Amino acid sequence: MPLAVAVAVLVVVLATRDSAVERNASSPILGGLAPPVVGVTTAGESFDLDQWRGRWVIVNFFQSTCVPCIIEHPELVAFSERHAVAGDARVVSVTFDDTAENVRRFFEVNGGDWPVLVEGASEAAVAYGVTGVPESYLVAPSGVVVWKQLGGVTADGIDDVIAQLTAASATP
Amino acid sequence: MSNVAAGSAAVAAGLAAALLGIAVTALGLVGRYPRWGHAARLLTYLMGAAAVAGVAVMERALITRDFGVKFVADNGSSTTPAIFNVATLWSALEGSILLWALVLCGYTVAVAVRFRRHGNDLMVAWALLVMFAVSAFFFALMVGPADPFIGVEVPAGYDGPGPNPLLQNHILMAFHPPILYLGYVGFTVPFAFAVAALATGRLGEGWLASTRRWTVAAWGFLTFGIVLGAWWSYETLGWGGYWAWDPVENASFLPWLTGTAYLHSVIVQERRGMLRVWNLSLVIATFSLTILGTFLTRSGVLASVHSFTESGIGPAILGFFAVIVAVSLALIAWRGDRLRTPGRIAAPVSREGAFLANNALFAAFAFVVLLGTVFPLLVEAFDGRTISVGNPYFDRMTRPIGFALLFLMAVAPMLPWGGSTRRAPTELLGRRLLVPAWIAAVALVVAVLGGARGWAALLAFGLGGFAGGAALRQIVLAVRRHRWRGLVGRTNGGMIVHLGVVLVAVAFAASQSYVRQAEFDLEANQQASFAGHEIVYLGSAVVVHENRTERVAFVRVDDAKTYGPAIATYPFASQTIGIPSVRSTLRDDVALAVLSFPDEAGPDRVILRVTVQPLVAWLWLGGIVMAAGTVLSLIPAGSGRRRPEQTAAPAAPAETVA
Amino acid sequence: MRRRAASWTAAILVAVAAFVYGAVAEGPPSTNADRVRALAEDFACPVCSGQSIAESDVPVAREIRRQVAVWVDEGRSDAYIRDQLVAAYDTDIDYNPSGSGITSLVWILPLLAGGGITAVVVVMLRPGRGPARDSGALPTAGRRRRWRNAATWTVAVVVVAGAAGLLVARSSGSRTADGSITGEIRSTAREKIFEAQQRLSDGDMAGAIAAYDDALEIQPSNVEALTYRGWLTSRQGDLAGAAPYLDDAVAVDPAYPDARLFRAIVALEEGDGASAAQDLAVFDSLDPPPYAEQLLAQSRVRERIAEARDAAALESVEALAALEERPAFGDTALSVAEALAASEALAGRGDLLEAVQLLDWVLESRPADPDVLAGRGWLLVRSGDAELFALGVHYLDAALGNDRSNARGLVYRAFARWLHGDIPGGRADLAAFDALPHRPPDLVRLIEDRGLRTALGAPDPNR
Repeated sequence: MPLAVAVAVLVVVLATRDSAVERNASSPILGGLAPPVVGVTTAGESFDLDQWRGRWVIVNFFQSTCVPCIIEHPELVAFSERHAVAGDARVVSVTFDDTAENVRRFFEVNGGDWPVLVEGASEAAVAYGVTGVPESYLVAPSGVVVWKQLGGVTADGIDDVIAQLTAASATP
Repeated sequence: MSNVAAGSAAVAAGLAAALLGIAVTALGLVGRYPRWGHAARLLTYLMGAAAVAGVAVMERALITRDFGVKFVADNGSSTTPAIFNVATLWSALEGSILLWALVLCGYTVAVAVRFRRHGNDLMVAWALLVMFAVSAFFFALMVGPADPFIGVEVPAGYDGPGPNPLLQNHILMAFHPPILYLGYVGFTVPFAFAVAALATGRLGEGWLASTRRWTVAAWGFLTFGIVLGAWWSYETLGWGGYWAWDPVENASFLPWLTGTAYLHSVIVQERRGMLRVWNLSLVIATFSLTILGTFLTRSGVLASVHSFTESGIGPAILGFFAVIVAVSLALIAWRGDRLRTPGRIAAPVSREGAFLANNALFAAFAFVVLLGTVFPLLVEAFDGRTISVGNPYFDRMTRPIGFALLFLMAVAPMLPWGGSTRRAPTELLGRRLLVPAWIAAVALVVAVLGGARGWAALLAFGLGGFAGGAALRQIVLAVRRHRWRGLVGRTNGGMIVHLGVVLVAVAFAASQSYVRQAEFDLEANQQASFAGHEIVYLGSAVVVHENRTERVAFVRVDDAKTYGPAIATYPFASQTIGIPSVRSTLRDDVALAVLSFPDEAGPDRVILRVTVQPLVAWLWLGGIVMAAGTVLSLIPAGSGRRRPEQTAAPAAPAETVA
Repeated sequence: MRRRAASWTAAILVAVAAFVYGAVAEGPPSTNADRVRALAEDFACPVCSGQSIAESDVPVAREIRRQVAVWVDEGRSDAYIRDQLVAAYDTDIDYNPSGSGITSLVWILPLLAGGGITAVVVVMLRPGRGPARDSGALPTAGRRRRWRNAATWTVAVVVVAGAAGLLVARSSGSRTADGSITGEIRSTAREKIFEAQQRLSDGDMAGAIAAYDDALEIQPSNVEALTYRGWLTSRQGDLAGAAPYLDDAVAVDPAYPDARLFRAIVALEEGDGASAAQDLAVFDSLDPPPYAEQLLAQSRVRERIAEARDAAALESVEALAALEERPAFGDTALSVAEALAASEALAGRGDLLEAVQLLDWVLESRPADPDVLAGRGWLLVRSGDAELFALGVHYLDAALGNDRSNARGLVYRAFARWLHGDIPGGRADLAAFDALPHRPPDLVRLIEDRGLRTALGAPDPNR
């Protein structure tokens, strides 16, 4: 009899499970202090995400050969330019399983003048739990990771998120 | 006639034959149709012919690249090599169900033919009814959610993507799935007879005798299929692993565990008439687990490299599983009174006691594997968290069971049946186990001298020597007594299987414990030495095949042969596929895998992963020995030292009435 | 018989000796690469369904392997590596289920099952206790005793197996490192700062200060902690206590905008306008985040610095005026900017005449200085008198005549032309100003404050 119950429970559980593919991985770093993004950029300068505290920061993980990254890139450029004067939001790109030379060429071709981390990139990618490229995280001015996007972002999409979060934090 | 129409017709004919078969056998069972036996046999032929036709049509569509068949358009390709073109059948869901149906029909026909002289034995009628019902389910799957013959319009000049690249780069892929299916599906036969025994109430040992060879054969196929699968993943995945406790691997391992338990416990029932419920449960569990495994891996509930893309067959298979378990449990409960065991165990330290311990261990083993496989789903259902259960858990939990099983393998064959001898069992053991003990001691000394360290691996070697020594002793004694006949028959063949198991266990322990791995960044003609091997990267070349482009790294190992691990690009695959190359010797394997060629433009460089593992080849040899032992155990031993082995005899009514 | 016993003893001795030696002796050194591989088998590749990161060669598996190799080379413990990966990828990357909470069941249940199976087997193996006898009619007392026996045994098995299971779960299951001693200095200091921020946003200032102190204890040179520790101290009214922290912060990182801003505010509150002006100048040259700009505006730092400067300038001018013989402007230490500021201050309090006279005095020494000419014009233009207005425009023209790209002249004349109704002229002046390479911030603000750009309908060069 207990066996029958166990089997019944198992069947019910199995019948109600979603497909493994559909289970969306929510990131455990959301809502917490942004993991460090520290290293050296393609320009040879040192970079530390903490120095941008007080601004919205898009931490963008990409690979120079990935097609969605190439498609996404103009949106990042637009976002970066839109906020260049106000200085309230910035972009940092982190290479993913790539070489510095490829990345430099990528930015020459596709534009973008923000820092691109090459040294320390693996550490950052693993600290953010990146699973593929492109993948972007939005870090709030407080230093908290507030949003994650698997796949390409759009400039308007990020601005919408920022507007929503600003409104939400203003209301209470 | 188009392939779609012909295939659909074949499937429909198969379903019709299965349903008719159910009707005919059912009518026969209620006594309305005395000639059911003949009709049922004809229907099995019809059903078998339908399945053969279905597979033939699909193979024709694959070979002629008839992209008007959706399955071919989705999985076929004009560039796939011929052998993998045939194997494309089982590289995706619908085709694998078709193959499953073919194997099932084959078994059904075989049962009908084998038992054709049994007149109007209701046991056979019930068994055929069950087999028709299972066949009907699989044909129904192909009529409904897993229809392999869906017509599709493709533009002129269309070419399919071909099967997943991983499934078309090694010859073993052509053999591993069919052999595994022969194993899985083969357990339908003992299941059918178990249900028949429950239904007819003839719960004696008759049904066991009828199906013993079938079960052994199915077990042999399953064993060999699993070993081939491990071999395939070792040869193609290129990280030096062959068993990763992947859900699909577990799904094939579970029925193997319960099936193995049954093969042992059935002997107790034959000799002592005990463990009736247990044996029925094991047969039912084995069959149910093949279905549950199919569900787990074919419904997309558990993520696995082996799982096919999502499909609608999940609920159907799960429902089928539930029906099987419910019907079986109900039957056992209904027959509870007749299942009461007449025999009893006379002495704890006896052959039957050892078999009991063996079954307890296999049951625990299966429980651990099943629990570990479904536990993430349970936690998610009740707690909402996602967790994984893998290598560290299974290693930790199954290792002690493995040690205990090795120990039992040494001791159990030496134990007398309870009450068969007046001498104390310990004295018998002292005499019979002395040589195995020395073999174990020598094995340990050799291992330690060979550099083996660490208690776990050494324990495995020692126990392996002990168990292997015991099996060898039995074989040697049997051959001395009966010449070549000492190698055949259940007992002797079983000992050869034991020998194979020991080889696998020792090879497993050695290769898991002493694996060495490193990554090298080599320029052309640069040398590296690792774990006692010299590796020279000679350079690379691009080789264009019809269905892929390979960049091959030429690597010389130990100043001997040159090996060619490569990276292949398939036109439809999003990522590149590594094609490892393995230098295999009886002592150790050097597996080479290209991780990347980092500089496209610069000097010829390669990032090479080198894995050195001792004794890996013995895993496959062990698997072959197990398969050979299974075949030998199927040959009747003739006039042995014990009473002649019972061939499938009609169930004598006298012994079945409790 | 005796020989067999001796042989057994020898075999066991040999086996045990070999086993013990092999189990205890040092094995060949395992390399970092071996450890990486062993670890890699214990973690699931996040995207490749059922494969470990050792098996898979997709980019993410490669990246994680690479990072694991870095950690191994750094000498990190397995627990540390596990914590890092779980923190980033969640618990389902860990193939070793946790030994606590509901997941511990995966360790305990097999032992319970094993205990149960063992109990059943033991019962079956007890001689003469075959199940066949169960059906026999026993006396009620005997049956009750049997039940009690069975119950006792069941409880015993459950307790023993459960306890064993718990032990296995504890020893084998993954544990979370609860102390963060394993973390590196930098990351723990970050966490403390983060904690301080959260406390601050909850209004818990004392807690925030304590958290910053913790951060400073971990990393004494942490600029952020130094800066905010100083700032919070000053907000509690302890200006003297705040200064050392802010000075340290500026010393560690002279380019940290927050430290400059806070030090400027503290200096202002201490009445040191000059220091504040210096810090503000550096602040302006940096790239301050938006909230710093907001704070700057909110606390009117710029205005207060200007006021302080004006007040100082006025003071010195008045001191000069009080002298019996006022020296020529060129002989005093006053700068043109100070003179202009003083004249604005005089005008601001209504002493327009005095303001004009002050600039006239400056013009005696610097007759052609366009800034002074423009300032004088600006005073007259604002007088409200039509004649003076015309004269003022004249001065502005003169200033621009001397220097066509004089910023003050351009802006003031743009205002004048706007007041006069000459919109295109004003727009032209403003455009000329916008084209200047260097535009003084006070003029930019003047344009913004008075809405000149909108009034003229001129485009914003920043948009």
